Order: sequence, then structure tokens, then C-alpha cells
Amino acid sequence: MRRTRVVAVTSLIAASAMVLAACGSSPGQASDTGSGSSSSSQSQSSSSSSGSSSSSSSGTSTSETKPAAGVGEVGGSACGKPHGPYDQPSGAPTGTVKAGYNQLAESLNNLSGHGNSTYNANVVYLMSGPGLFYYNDKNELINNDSFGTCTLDSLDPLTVTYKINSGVKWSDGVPVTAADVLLNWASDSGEYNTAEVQYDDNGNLKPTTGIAFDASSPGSGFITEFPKISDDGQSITFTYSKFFVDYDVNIGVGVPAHVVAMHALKETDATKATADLVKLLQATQNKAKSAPADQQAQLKAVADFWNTGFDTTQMPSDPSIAVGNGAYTLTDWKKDQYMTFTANPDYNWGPKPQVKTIVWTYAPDPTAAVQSLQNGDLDIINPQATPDVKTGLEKLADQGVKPIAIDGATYEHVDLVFDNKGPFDPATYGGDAAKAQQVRQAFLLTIPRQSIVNTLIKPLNQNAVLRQSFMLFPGQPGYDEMIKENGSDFYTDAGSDAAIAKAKDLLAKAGVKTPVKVRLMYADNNPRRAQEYQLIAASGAKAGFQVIDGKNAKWSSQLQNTAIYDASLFAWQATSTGVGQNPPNYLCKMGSDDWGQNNFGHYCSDVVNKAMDDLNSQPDATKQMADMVTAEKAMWADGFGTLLFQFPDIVGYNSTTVTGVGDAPLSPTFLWNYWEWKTAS
Amino acid sequence: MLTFIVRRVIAAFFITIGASFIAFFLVAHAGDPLAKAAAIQQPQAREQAKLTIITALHLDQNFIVRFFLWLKGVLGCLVGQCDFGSSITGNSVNVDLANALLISLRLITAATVAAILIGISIGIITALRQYSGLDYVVTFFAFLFFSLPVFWFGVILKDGLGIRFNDFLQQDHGAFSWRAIIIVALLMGVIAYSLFGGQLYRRLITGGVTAVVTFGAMYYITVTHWLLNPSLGIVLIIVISAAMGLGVTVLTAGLRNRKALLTSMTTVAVGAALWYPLQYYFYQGFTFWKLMLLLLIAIVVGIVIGYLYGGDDKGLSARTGAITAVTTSFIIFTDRMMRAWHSYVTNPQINGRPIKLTLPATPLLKGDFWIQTTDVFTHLLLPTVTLMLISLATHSRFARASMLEVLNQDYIRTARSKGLTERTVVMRHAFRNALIPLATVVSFDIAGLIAGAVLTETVFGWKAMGKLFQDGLVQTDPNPVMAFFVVAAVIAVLANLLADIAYGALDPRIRVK
Repeated sequence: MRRTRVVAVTSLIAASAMVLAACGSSPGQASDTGSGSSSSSQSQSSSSSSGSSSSSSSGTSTSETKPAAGVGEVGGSACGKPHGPYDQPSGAPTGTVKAGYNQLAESLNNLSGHGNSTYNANVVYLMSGPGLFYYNDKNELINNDSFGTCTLDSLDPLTVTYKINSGVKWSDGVPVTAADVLLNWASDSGEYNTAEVQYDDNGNLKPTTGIAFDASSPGSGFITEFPKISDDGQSITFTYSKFFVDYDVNIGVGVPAHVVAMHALKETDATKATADLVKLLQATQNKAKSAPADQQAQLKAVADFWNTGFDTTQMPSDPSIAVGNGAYTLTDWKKDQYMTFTANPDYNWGPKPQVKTIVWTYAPDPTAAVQSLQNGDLDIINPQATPDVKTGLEKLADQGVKPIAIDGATYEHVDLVFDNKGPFDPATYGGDAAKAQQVRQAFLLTIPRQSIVNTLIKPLNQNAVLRQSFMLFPGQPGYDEMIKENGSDFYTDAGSDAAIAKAKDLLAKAGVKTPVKVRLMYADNNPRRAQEYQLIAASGAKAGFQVIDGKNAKWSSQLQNTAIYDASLFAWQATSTGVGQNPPNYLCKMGSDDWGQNNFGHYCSDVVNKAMDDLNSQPDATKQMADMVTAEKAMWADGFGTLLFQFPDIVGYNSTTVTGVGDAPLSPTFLWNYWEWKTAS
Repeated sequence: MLTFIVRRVIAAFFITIGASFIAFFLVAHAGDPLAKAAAIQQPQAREQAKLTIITALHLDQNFIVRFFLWLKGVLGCLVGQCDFGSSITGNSVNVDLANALLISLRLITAATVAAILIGISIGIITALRQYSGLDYVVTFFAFLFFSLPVFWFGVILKDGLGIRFNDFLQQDHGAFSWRAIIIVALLMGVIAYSLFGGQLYRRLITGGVTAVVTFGAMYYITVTHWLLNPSLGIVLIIVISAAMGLGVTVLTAGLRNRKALLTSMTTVAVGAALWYPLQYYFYQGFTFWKLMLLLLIAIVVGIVIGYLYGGDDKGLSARTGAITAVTTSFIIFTDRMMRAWHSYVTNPQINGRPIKLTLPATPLLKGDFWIQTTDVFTHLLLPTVTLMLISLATHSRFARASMLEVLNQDYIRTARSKGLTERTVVMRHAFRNALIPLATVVSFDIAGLIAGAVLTETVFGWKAMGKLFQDGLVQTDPNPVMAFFVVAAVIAVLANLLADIAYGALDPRIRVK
């Protein structure tokens, strides 16, 4: 459902988003309250910003693991690796697990632009997960083939068929059908919009005079031909007008089509309403503006309901709003306090849960969460990672509390600016590119990466590693191979005496006058970044760099303004492992202002351009990997920037009350395997 | 008086609008609401997200226009059509505000009442025992609590009063160790010794008796595991109610006033006689409103008893009767609550650990009025104690200073020289006048508590007014912040107005014409 859909979208997105919020708060918290909305759902290759917004995808399917396109193979690679039958638990689910999180949901549709946040995705994953596909803790995309299958019919044109198994039902008993997949595509294809989303004087999303779904996805936008639905209504085939690299996570099952149809078309029979909705979508596709007035009115009702009908912060008075197709159903929701989920007795289209009731509790304060765990009020917590939380959890070891610390999906990095007449711009040296490159390399060699990890991150996650790849995160399939080949080893010991000596040599060779002034911009409200700055400045001084403190309250909007900084220190958050996220970070078009959207420093390399262009249209996983290796080699050699660490993510659980708890880097993090949770007797 | 109030209300109205404008200006410039959207990589998504926020917050308008748009919605409150706008995520702030306000009131009501009652009592007692050991000790602790940071104190309290007390109930089954019994008994003895005045001999006796009683009580609690299944029983109810009735009489009329004493004791007797039948009434379908009704009936009964005894001072007797009725009802209510305790503690959702650290209620808890009320209390306990201890210092210091000032007035000397009893001098002449300046402090404190509970809410996981404000500020989301501001400002202005009116009513010297 939505989750699935989200996943899809997300992965498209590939996102790495800046973690704004995270910057403000402490490290790495996958779940930051502040993070608001980001739109990964709509975007493809975008990243959602602020931290958590990504939708629910958790891991990734990286290009590497994406099985080489099995054209025509039923249930093949088109939405992840088929899982096959699950080892179902014997007996009915029992017991209660209380999990704490720092924010409850604000919408049960996390696919809309304003509803796309981790805290919504978590809840949707409980209600409608795992759905058609999900990410596991190894960041592999898994197709839940008990729910449905996806077949790659052809690569040229790209054609994908989704088949929902019969017997898969929404929690109100209505079957899940191709119509649900259709609505998922329709909502963000842009094929039905006649107007922009509008708001009333008070900022409430309001019914517009036109039709506007509050979502968008370029991937779905490439599908311009109305999809074919099979006679039994269980299969649907999409044909793309243009190749879309992250097609495997583009489309899934979102919100229930029959609920939208019954509300928007004011009908009471689910089957008929759904059929009417499909007919409506077929009749008006890409001609919403010229459709008869009555159809326009109906379509508008559909879009309006899809946008806001699922928004709520307490138990909806209309139970159909809370309909899901997953292992749990929402049974109670006390605003700002807790939500309860009860195992759906009919659920047999995926891994069956072993816990009868999950209480999803509001737990905003990290220290308070640890104390609640100690007092038995909570069984699982996922607080913001702080040293206090870590020691607090360790002290509870004799009570059976177990901590899990992993590298999250958000990573800290330093980017350099190439065209601001600063120390890293060839123009400063009269266009001498080699000289600028030596200065860049020298600077990057002085950044004490390992000691930043050791001093700032290891106290939170003793397994933390130095990130060595721009495009893959540690633990992602292909990462080890990548770092062997990408040339990052040149900077592995950056900051050490040997590296400082090398940096001095490079500066001497370049013949620049020291001290070289480097303005380093970072968020002003983030103590950890201030510490990183201190370490970088101290180390830089040894080799002849004077690193100027450029902390800035408006850093995120100032990233475009390269006149004020030479290097920036911030984080991106990955919301999936789709490869489509990479090109916007590194692409540039020579001779125009058409920079990659996130290439703030205006780095420009033909090698990288070529590799990124190929990546965008490359269906073959091995070749995708080759493209990324090629690009990274060039980037490390050119001194594009450097990478520091993944934000740590901490989960604590009481092993005397619950077992089977895990964690995964991407949203929905520790929820990903909730069906393996089991109450201890 | 009416003109005065009208004038004040009109002035207050414009002050609030002016202050709102300043606040709006500050919030609007506190950060960049688009920062998060700007960080989205995908251009299509970024523009969509920006547009959503821009239109939601009217960022395309000048901020003065935005202020008036906002003001228009808020002024709708005057005609019953409040609109506080929507938050950055598109939720209606009205809903959030209503919910937050209710939770906030629940959180601070008990704390405020307790802080006022206890703080003023402490202040009066320490004033009467100025420069005694008790005075110094109380002053020390009052300042200690006052200076503790909430986020730290809350955590400590949760550990000590919450987790450890639960461990004590769960693992030790509520049994005190001998060492604890002896130390607490001695401590109570010392406190009682310093609390009461008079001859050394009399004070020693008081202290000794208190220590022995405490020792006995704790021993009893230990052997019977009373904390796991507490109740008072009719005997204790009568004893405690009678003692409280006596205390009330001493304070209001003095034991020499036979009619008042009789009224008080009769009220206690009626309460005790009704105890048994009430248990049936309590058993089924009891609600909060029934509780309030009972309380009202009790007060009326107390008043009627006072009047029936007649005499010259009927009003005084009636007052004594009413107050005794309240204290007796409270004891009976406490007894009933205690009877619910055992089933509450053994409820699977509570699982033997009754004191709760966060949230306003236990999820999934099923039970009747008594179980639910117990649940409210167990959740309120820690935040209430935190808030109370912190505002205790202000109240007690003000009460003490005010009382001392009054005690040095000429009219007190006159009263004493007239031969009035010390009780009359303290209670009638000094205490009432000492309360006048407290009217200001207390009214401001109520306004301050709503605004000042931000940290307490965070520590205890309550999402109320403070959190609304804080989250809004962190996300540069002006509407929730402004909603908080309006409510806080209106309460502050109202409290101020009430204080002024109360001043006029209490102090004849400054009555307004």
C-alpha cells in the first residue's frame, strides 16, 4: 500500500537529503521530530530533506543487487527479490509490545507531498506493511510475493506488470486489486492535474477550482499511456515512454482506491465505486482539462479526498480512513499520546506477526525514553542518539535491556566550491587547474576523518566506520567493492602526520602562499559540527590552512550562495538505495548554468557527466556499478570533497519482554521486521 | 468598579494585539521556514514542497499582511469562529491548541493548587517561627528546589520516586527495612518537634509521640504489605476526620466555640455514618460529576448543620461545618481510592509498577472510574511534584515576608493588647491581610505555569502548550507559536485584571471609585 508505494517512490529518489533537522539536533537521528515534510514521495531522485522524511523505504536495492533484469520472468526483478513463502509462526499472535517514538502520525497517507514524513511512514508500515515490497536490514529490496508479483515484460519500451494475488484484502474486507495500483500511479503521474494545489486564507489545503494531486513523480510521469488492467482486475501493466532507472520502486499499492472512490464519488458499494473510479481515470487521462464538467467535478473530488481525506491526528471518526492491507489494524489513537495496533486475524499475504497488540507511544525526550524502558512502560525505544542514551542503556543490561547501534542512512560530508574565486577554484590561480587540484587534495588530506569518527561517533556507535564512498553507504551491497576501486584510500589516513606531510608537499608543489584561507560553512546550532570544525581547523593549521569558522544560521538556503564559503559541512539523508539519486549531486553541463540540483560547489567533470548520464538510462546492474565506480574515481582524484561518517541510530529494547527486534538504516528503521517481534513469556 | 473593569479590558485588548504584533514579527524572523524544503534534492519535489509551505504560511505576502490575515482569524474568536491557521504540515492549529490547552490545564491545576496551599502554609508557619531551626531548614530547601533545573530534577524524581518506588513495591512488596523505619521515625519526630511551639517539655513530648506513631505506622505498613493493598477502614476514617475537624475548628473558631466544635463533630459523624452506604453508590457507574455532586451535597449538609446549631455566630459554625464536610469527604474519597489501588497495581497493563513516568494515561487500561482516576493520579504525581516544588519557593517566601510585615503592624499590637487569643490575632488579623499581596503573585504564577511548563512537558512526555510552542519554534512554524502566545497573553492579562479586582475587594484602602 502506501508504504509500498512510498518505497517505490522513495527509492526513486534515491535520496539523500540534507538533514536539516538533524543538524540542529544531535546526531543522527533517523527520526527527528523537526523534520517535516519532505517529499520524497513525489520526487524521484530527490532526497528528502530534513532528515527524516523519507518515506518508508528502508533499505535499498542498489544497483548491484538489482537482479540483472529478468525480462519476462514472472515475479522477477521488477520490484525486488521475491521472498518466497515465509516460515509462519504457529498459533495466534499474543501479548503486547509498547514501542516509543518521538512523533505520532499526522496523516495516514504518506504519499502526498505534505504527508511524506518518517513518522507517517512508520504508522503506515504497521497498517499496510510490508505490502508489495520492502527493504530488509541488508538494504535489499524484497518483493513480498505472497502479496503480489511484478514482472518486467520488456526493457524497450520499459514495461512492467503488477499482479496482486487473489485473497489479499483491505482490513474492511474489500479485495486489493489493480485499481489500487492504478490510483497510486494516477496520483503522482501529473496526468490528471489541471491546477496547482491551493490553500485558503488560513493555510488549510482547500478544494481547488482545478484538479491537483499533492504529489508528483517523474518516474510515473514517464508513463503516458493508460495502463492495461487484466480482465480479472488483479493485474495491471504499465508502459514507460522513456527508460526510468529506478522503476522497481516506482509504483506499488498506496491508499485504498475503494475508500477514495466511495468518498469522492459518494457511492456505497465498494466494487462499483472502484470500477467507476477506474472508468473515470481512463476517460480523463491527460485530458482532465477538456473532460466534461461532471467528470472534472468527480476527478476533483477524487484528488481532494486523496490529498486531505487521510489527514488526522487522532482516531478518525470514519473507520474507512484507517483501512490498511497489512498485518495490523489501527484500533485506538489518543492524540499526542499513543496509537494501538491489533493484529489483523485475516492477514495471510505475507509474514504473520507474533505480537497481538503494538502500542505506538509518543516519547519525545531521549532520557525520558530510557527511563520509561527501565520502568517497563516501554519495551522498545528509538531515541535520538546521545552519549547519555548509550550509557543509560548499557547500565540497564542487568535488566535485560539490549542496545542496537547501527550506522543510519544519513551521512556527514565536506564539499568544496569550484567556482567562487576561492582557494579551490582554478580561476584563482590564473586558470591553472592542476594547481587548484593540488590545493584541494592538500586540504582534504588535512581533514582528520578517522579522529572525527573516533571522538564524535564511536562513543555513540562503537561499530561506526569511516564512510569511503560518495554513492553507496557502508553495508549497502557493493560498498566493499566500491571502496576498493574508487581511490578513496588516498584519503583514508587524512589528518595523520604522514598525510599532513603529503599535504605540505602538495602545497609546496602548487607554490601557493600559506596560510591558505578556507571558509568552512556549517549549521550554527549544531554542537557536533562545531566540534568537527575545531578538529578540522586544528589539523588544517598544521599544513598551512587557515580554516575560517563559517557557521551560519541560514546555511541550507546559503548553500547556493558559494560566494560566502569555500567548503561546506553538512549531511545528506538517503531514503533508498536507488541509483537515480546520484546524478543530481554531481552532474554539470559545461557552458551553461544547468548544474546538478545538488551540485552546489559546481564541480564539473566530463568523466562524471558521462557516467551519470549513462547511469540514468542503464538497466543493467553491473554496468550501473561500473558507472558509479568510474565517477567516484574521478571525484576522489579531482578532490570533489570528502566523507566523514553515518549518523548513528540507536534502538534499545527489553529482551525480557520482547525478542526479535532489529534495526535497519533506512525508514522504517527498527519497524522493518515487526513480524519477527515476539513477546517473551 | 464597572468602568474600571471595562477600561482595563479595553486596554488589555490593545496591549494583547500590540504584543501579538511584536511576537509575530519575532517569530516570522526567527528562521527560514523554507529551509527544509530547500534541501530536497529533486527539483520538482522541492518546488512542490516550497509551494506548499509558502501558500500555507502566506510567505508570498509581506509579513504585515500576514499578521493581519492571522489577526482576522484569531479575532474570529470574539464571534465564536476562532481560526488559528494551520501548522507547517497543514494541520489545523485549532485542534492542536484545544487539545494542548486541556492537557496543560490537567497538568498544572493540581500543581498550582498544591503549590499555593502548601507554599502559603509553609510561609505562614515559618513566619511565626522566624529564625528558628525550622525556618532555616525550610528556607534552605525552598531555595534549593527553586534553583533546580526542571530537566534534571524531573529525571532525578523519575528515578527516585518513580522507578525505585516501583521496584520497592514490586521487589520488596512494600516492606521497609528496619533502618528506614528508624530513620524516618526519628526524622518525623524532629520535624514535629520544631513545628510546634511552646515549652521545651511540650515540644519534646510532641516530637516523641510523632516518632513513635510514625514507627508504628511504618511497621504496620511493612508487616501487612499495606502499600500493595491499602485502605483506611471506618475506624481510621473516623479518627482522621475527627482530627481534621478539630484542626479546622481550631483555625476557624477555636475550641472554646462549642457550637462550632459540635457542628464540626456532627459533620464528621454524618460522614462516618454515610461511609458504608456510600460504598454501594461508589460501586457502579460512578463518574466525576457524581463526585462533584456529592461534594456539593456534603458542603450543604455542613452548612445546614452549622445553622441548625444556631447561636449568635451561625455563619462561623456553618463555615466550620462546610470546611469539615470537605475534609471528611476527602478522607472518604481517599479511602475509596485506596480500595481501587490493589486492582490497579495488579492490572496487566500496570504490571505491578504503578507510578508512571510519562504520558497522561496508560494505553489499553480498562477499568471503572476508580481505576481510571487512579491512573490519572499515578501519571500526574511526578510532574505535579516537580512543578509544585519549583513554585513552592516563591509562594512560601512571599507569604513569609508578607506575614512578617503584617505581624509588625500597629494593629496587630493593638489586637494583642486587647487580649485577643493568639489564634484570633494570627488567623483573623494577620493572615487575611498577609494574603493581599499574594493575590498578585498567585495570579501571575498561574499564567507563568502554562508558559513555563515547556521543560516539564518534554521530560514527562506530555504534549501540551509548552510543547506546542517549542515544536513550533524549532520548525519555524509561526501559527502554533502565535496560538500559544495568544493564550498565554490572554491568561496573563486576565490574571492581572483579576488580581487588580481582588486587590480592590480585599484591601479597602485601595478601593477604586
